[in-house]
Amino acid sequence: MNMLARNGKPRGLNFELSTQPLEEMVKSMFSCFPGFRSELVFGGQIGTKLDVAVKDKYVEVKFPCPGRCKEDFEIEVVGDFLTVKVVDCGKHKECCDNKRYVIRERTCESYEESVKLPVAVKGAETRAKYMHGILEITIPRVCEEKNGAHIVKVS
Amino acid sequence: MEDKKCFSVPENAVEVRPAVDVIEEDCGVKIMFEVPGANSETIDVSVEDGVLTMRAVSSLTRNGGPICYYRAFQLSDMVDVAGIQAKTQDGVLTLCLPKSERATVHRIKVE
Repeated sequence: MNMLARNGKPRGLNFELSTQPLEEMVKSMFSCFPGFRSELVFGGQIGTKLDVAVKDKYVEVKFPCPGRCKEDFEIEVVGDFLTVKVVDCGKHKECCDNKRYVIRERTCESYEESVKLPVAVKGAETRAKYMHGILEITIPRVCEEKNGAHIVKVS
Repeated sequence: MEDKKCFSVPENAVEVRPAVDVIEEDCGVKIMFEVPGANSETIDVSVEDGVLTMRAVSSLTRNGGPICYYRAFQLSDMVDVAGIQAKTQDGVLTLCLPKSERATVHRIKVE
């Protein structure tokens, strides 16, 4: 029985006016052309899930990844490169197998992304927390020496 | 579901269509929305004229405005609207839509 449709109407009928389907269509049509960047059309950074923000004393990286547990994440900082891996710890797949899906858009597959951080960081002091489906990574910046004037006395 | 009359979406919010799973179960239907950055205080679920509407404001931003997840579904009259339950965990909103009494199968033994 389909409880989301009345009298045989299409399942999952929705009314949103989102540009996301259009973005996906344009990406699929033009991604084969070298130099095409969908963010030039729609704005934002499509294609990357890592949102990097440079603050005064640290770099903050946000990674939306709902429905996971903290054991699913592996985070590496090597030099100025941050790598985030999302692996399935097993419990998601077990509970997905025997369900009767009417609509299935969510995924619990593995994912990996690396990004070059725009500033020098102290990788050993990286902190991460997972809350409300967002992985938040905080990496302290390396204090840069200010280019102040050096007065040299002639002896 | 409770009425949240004070729920409002910021004017500069960027509307995003969240991914969903709709799963049929023996006792009804379960809908799972991906709403990272939203919590019970920033999620609004309502049913009006047979249309279930979900709005959720996230702590994530895009183009300078907060992300607002929005999605709506037409419900059949087989859903017990008064019995809908909602919970959120780890950025996933789960709605349990029980079958109404009309939808339950009554088997009649032929003598």
